[in-house]
Amino acid sequence: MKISKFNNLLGLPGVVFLTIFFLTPSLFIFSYIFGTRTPTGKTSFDKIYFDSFQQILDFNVLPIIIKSFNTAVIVTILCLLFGYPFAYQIRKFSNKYKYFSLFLISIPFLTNFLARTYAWKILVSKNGLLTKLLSIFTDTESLLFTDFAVILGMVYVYLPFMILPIFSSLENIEDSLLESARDLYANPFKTFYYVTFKLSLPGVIAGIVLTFIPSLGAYIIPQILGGSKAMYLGNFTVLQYIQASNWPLGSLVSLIILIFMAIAINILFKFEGQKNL
Amino acid sequence: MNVINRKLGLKLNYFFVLLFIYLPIFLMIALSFNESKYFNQWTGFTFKWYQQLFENQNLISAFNNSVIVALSSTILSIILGFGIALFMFRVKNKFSKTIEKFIYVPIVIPDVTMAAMMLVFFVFLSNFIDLKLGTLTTIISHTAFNISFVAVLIGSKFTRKLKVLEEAASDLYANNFQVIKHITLPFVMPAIYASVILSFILSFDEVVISMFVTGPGSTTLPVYVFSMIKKGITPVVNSISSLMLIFSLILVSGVLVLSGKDGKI
Amino acid sequence: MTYALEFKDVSKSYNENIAVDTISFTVNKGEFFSLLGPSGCGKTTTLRLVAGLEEPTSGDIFIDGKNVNDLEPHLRPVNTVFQSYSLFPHLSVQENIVFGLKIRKFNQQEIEERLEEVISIIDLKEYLKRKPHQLSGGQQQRVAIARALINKPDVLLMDEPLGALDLKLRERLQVEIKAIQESLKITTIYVTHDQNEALAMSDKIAVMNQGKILQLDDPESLYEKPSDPFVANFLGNSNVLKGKIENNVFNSEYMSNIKVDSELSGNAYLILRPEIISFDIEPSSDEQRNSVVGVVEHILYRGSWVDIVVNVNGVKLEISKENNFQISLPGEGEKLYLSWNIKKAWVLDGED
Repeated sequence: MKISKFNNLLGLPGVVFLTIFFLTPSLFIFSYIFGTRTPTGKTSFDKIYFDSFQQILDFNVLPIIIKSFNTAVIVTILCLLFGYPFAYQIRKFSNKYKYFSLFLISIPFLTNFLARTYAWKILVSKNGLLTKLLSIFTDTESLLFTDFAVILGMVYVYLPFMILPIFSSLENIEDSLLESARDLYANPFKTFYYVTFKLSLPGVIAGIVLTFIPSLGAYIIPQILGGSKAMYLGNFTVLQYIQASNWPLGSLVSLIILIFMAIAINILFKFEGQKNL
Repeated sequence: MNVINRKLGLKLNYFFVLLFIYLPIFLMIALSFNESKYFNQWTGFTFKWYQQLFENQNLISAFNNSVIVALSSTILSIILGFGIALFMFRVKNKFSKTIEKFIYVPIVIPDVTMAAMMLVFFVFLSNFIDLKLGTLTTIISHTAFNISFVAVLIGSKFTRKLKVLEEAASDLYANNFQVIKHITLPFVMPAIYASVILSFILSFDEVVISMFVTGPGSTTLPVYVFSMIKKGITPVVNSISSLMLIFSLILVSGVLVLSGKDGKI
Repeated sequence: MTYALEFKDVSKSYNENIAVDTISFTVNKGEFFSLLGPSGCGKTTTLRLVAGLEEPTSGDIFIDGKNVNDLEPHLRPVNTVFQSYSLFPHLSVQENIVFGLKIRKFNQQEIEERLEEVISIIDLKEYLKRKPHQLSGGQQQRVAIARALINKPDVLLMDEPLGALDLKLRERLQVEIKAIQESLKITTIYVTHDQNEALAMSDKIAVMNQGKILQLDDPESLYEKPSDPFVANFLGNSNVLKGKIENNVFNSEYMSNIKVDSELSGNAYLILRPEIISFDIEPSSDEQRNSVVGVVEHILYRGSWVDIVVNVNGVKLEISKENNFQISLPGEGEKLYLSWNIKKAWVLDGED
């Protein structure tokens, strides 16, 4: 029938574009894993190499993977810790303050994150406000180029990503549900746990996904706040491409990031599917 | 736990988070007007750091490149993304269901991975056709992820209600084009406006992918600023960062106003 | 003679789900034809097949003698009034109504003429400039009907158009719609699950269940002479008893020695409409009537009539009596004798 042909044609240009310019490149990355770096910096494919895999062990990539993973976990937990109560608080507001708070949170969400990372850099530099504040308690001279700065910087940039989805799912919980719970003798704590928290889980999961995955593959933030010595998966990958010209290794690490991401998404969505009230 | 303590705790957290987010921003904007180069002393109010921006040729051409890339990739992604969204809405077979799942990949993929992918791909292509890393490759790369955002955003507006309206229109003699023109487009217009702004912002702000796939002379603004930041903290970085922030702010406000008119996104 | 609409062995299935199962029927020009049945029986799918919004898996559909299987909705001379109004929210009432004409590029004069015509039939003048969301349900419904009628379709399709309205409004619109249809002599296919509505408005009714047409007849025949226990149950309250007939005597688990006026033998259904059953405190001695005894279970006061549920040896019979304030009603738990004229009961052949 003509209508369905038409509908198919609608999607064709977009699908073709993505196949050529997204799917194909991803396949390329996959094949580059099996090349090897020639002395001139090009990649050779005359046979199937496993050098990149070997280099993962030789170049101490495993600690980097672990570090990135741990950092991502810490960042996500921190965002959850501060972000959930924030979303919860906004939900209690009347509409006016609610939307104003949303506006305040959304602005950083989409404004230039380079600028925001830089703003944070100011705070943690040698004479920065935060450094000065902390030097009262500890001995630190400069927060810049420390893991601590990187973690806080990521929290700084990704916090809105956690808040917005949680708020969105909290908003969908009707007050009548909470009232029924109270009517059925649940105290405030139980109401929160059994009703509110469980129902906000989709938002929490979305928030975790939107925080954990960028943290895992972060490059800009560690680069700016951690310096060139900072070794996270993101930096390491970029290093292989731009400086070391070791594309096979870079591709392999990119793929590792991708696999982590896929596993994380899968686990999280299975977790969501299993929850029942 | 005491009820009052809990309420207080929540409120404290609320203000703390807001402070946490906005203090660095205000600081940075304030410092961009600081006479002194050093940020621990305030020596006076000045516009000179902003003036220097406009004298920096490299920066201005980077800005122009960013605008060109953002505009082009936005236009391209809106057209292609709208088509995909409409396709997913109207066609329900195995193929469209697969697309529905995979359309999210460009959204969640880490930018480092995507940057590497595109670089590898373009370099390979350049063996066969005369393709250099530059504005075109950047536009293509940005479009590649923007399409997904557009498709998902516009797709979220395709509801049952729209389906009934489209059927009513074709029942009233409207052919495919007429249905789209008179019914579909007006119905999803808010999402289209939001997509335009979102695509533009995402492309304009994009750093890592651009870093990989641009070439000499086609640097984008974020890439240029990034290299400045890596070199250290100079007041000029303050001013350009403040400008970029405010620029995005205006665009974001636009998104929120438009989606507010229609309801939540 | 060409039929306005004809279905020949039409089926529609979605994967393994058979929505419409080999149905055939014809509709004459100017007829008010209803598709009646419970949710999921296939009536809406049938309507959509006429509109072209669904394609038949097999079979042929003819509109005015022409096979329209491959004809897309926007090319068919039919118009639909949808269940949930589906007025275009961004257009005014007037723009909604003339949409079909504008799309087909009618000139301004023709549009104005037709608009006048439609407004004279359906009173909409007051709110032509308003937007749909500013109208009430009933008003939106009238707009939807006007929007369809202005195009003078060969067949008018209506998909449970009154479902969302309250009783009084529904009854009023039923009368209006029927009046419009009669004066315009427009062939109408009307989908509903409300049997009262179908009985009141239709020239012909097709009762559907699980994708099939069980019986197609005029309202009186369907009500008084159902051909199927499902049809009997669906149309009005009725008491359907299963049993065996031998030599004009019906015997069942709950009642025996019931005389019937029927040539059938073997398994059968006895159908007793509540209206034919009388009650008394004494058994009837009339030879023309059957008599059974039972105990009153509930009395349901309905205002102008009363439903009485009587338990007869385990089966619950429902009787309806006009409330004329004179006959005293039995109380719950009382013994009651029910009787009916032998000839008024309806008998159906049962399966083996």
